[in-house]
Amino acid sequence: MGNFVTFHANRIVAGAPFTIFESAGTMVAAALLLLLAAIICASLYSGGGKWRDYALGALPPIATALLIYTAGHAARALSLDATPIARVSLGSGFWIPLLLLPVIYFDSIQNNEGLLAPAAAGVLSTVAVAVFFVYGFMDDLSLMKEFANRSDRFFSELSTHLTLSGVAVSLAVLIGAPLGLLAERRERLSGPTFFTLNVLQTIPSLALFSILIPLIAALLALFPTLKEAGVGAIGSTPALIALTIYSILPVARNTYTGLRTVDSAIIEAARGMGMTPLERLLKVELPIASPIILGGVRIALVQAIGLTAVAALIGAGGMGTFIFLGIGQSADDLILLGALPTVLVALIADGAMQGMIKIVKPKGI
Amino acid sequence: MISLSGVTKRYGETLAVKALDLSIESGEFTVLIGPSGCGKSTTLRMVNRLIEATAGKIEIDGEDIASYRPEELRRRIGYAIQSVGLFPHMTVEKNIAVVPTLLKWDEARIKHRVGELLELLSLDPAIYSEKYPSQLSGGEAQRVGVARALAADPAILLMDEPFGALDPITRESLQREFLRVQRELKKTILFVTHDIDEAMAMASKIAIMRDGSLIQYAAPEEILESPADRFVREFIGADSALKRLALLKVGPLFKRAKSIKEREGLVAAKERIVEGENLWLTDEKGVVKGWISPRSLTGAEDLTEATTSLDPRAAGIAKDDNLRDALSTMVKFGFRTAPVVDKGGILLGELSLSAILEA
Repeated sequence: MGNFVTFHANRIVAGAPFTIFESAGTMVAAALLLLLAAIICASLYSGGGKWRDYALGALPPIATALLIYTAGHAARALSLDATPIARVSLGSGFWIPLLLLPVIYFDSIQNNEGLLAPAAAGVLSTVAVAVFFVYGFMDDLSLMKEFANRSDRFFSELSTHLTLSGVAVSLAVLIGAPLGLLAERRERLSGPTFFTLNVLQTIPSLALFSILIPLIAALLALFPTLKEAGVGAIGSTPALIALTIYSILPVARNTYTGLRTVDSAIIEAARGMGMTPLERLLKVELPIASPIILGGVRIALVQAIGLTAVAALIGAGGMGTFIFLGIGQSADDLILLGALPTVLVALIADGAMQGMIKIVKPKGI
Repeated sequence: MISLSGVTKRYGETLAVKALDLSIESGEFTVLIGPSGCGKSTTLRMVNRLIEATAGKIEIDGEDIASYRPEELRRRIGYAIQSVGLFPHMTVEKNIAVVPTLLKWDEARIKHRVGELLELLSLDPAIYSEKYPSQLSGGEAQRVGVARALAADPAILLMDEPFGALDPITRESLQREFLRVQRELKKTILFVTHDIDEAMAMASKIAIMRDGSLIQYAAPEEILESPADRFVREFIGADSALKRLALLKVGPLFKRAKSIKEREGLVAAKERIVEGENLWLTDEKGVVKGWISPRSLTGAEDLTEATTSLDPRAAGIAKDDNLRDALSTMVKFGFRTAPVVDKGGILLGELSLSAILEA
């Protein structure tokens, strides 16, 4: 924890690193280090049975909450004597444990489903962290200062970001699911369909965004009415088209695979009992394939949330706005202000989709 | 009644079924049998139009099946297959209810029908209704498959090797049970198998096919007694005489037997026994305990010494056993004459080897 936080006299100049002891004080630092040491010991120790499961399930969320609190505490301590333009940013000593702790936690709860303590610790720690942020414990961190300067903009960009990815994935479901169904029903079409979608998927996002701009511009020249309807060659139109194109493949492929995995005996039985093709699709094939199809939507959604960050480059807005602004100004914390929420939203979307798949999945499968 | 006339199925250059004529009477249990690739499954699947015939006509009760919508036709015909094909996301109850639901029966009627069918196939509705297919054994799954085929009470049942994937013990008990169900319901059944023993055990008529053509269509006894050609003879196997025995029951062949109760003693036994015959020893209720031969009686001090004891549950023959099973029991225990007993082991009569040979 050599570089827990870095102190900058202002936003531009290089900073001076502080250790966790120097910045947060002996007591808090010692408590956090002891907790981390316990987790490391538990994860390296193969025995211990139930106690080890509890330690690895319940301690990491507590340590994460404490780590975040400690960062806020350190920032406050360093800011006391400084000018308002001074910045305290987070260093590797903060980031490394912040990334490792969730890995240990999620690995542990996946192996020990049903333990109450780890789930409770997770929920409580999340609430605690939320409280830290809402009640200003973290306000002296540079990241939060960037946020405070742009809080209105932050929420409008976040909403743009969510709308863009949400609409793109919805469109992709409307296009991709029928495409997957068609490929499954007409096997001759599956080769060309997935070849095209795979090729589209390999185009770098930046390239696709920039290809679309002149294409749409040409289209607008041909059909001026589109322009009047609010379609622009830059901004949300090309972004939405590109994001939709990327999202189609996972949805179409999983629809195809899901329908393919339905046992041929089940299809034969359904036909033999006199189901029409539509009844067979709705009552038998789609319910059986639904977990796999939703798995494709989940991949598309997480992927779209990440890709939407790039869309800011062509003026579509979203969290990418802060990232590119931060790159332009060499302001690392501004980059983080765009990147961290993007990651967080992607993780939440992933978890929500997993939960939904569990609920929607028909019993018996 | 199902009648096929000139039914042909062509796949490219090959003829899977060649101008087949076959007429199946109502209530008949017809087994289609033959080596793999003989066209038996194709024939079956043309009846519910899962496969469309290239030429020829299939009629059910005088109506051309081509005049129906395929789905409408299939809802009127029960269909069970080897791989069962239960819908994994539906409970047993929902699986059985599929066709009645398609036919828009009301809920109460469906529920009542499902319970009735589960009981008919010896599955307790309280235990099985809410189970999912993944929780069933192979035999239970196939019972549900048969119940599902019977759900809308179709007059015709098509079955494509329904018991083919089961272990021999489960298969035999399901065959027996299905025969019981059929005696009760008297459906017109078209049943495909490649197992000649299964055909002999189940069929009232057997249609033997080879290379897409019908070779012989007759009752099992007739096929065993006068096979149409060398192919049929080879197909039914070298043990056709034993297969014939399997079709005959003990019932009409056994005779009354002489018996003696334990308390009657040695003297009574000597009076009652006839040279060349055995005497069966029973308890007061008439349950067989053993047998006494004229030779064992000479020089014996009491009845127990003269008796060779036996367990009627193992060595006894039941009235509705078939002759092949009876013969097997007799060979196993070395009997020239075997006791015929009821479920409780009470002596009903005896069956002699010569009676079997004369049958």
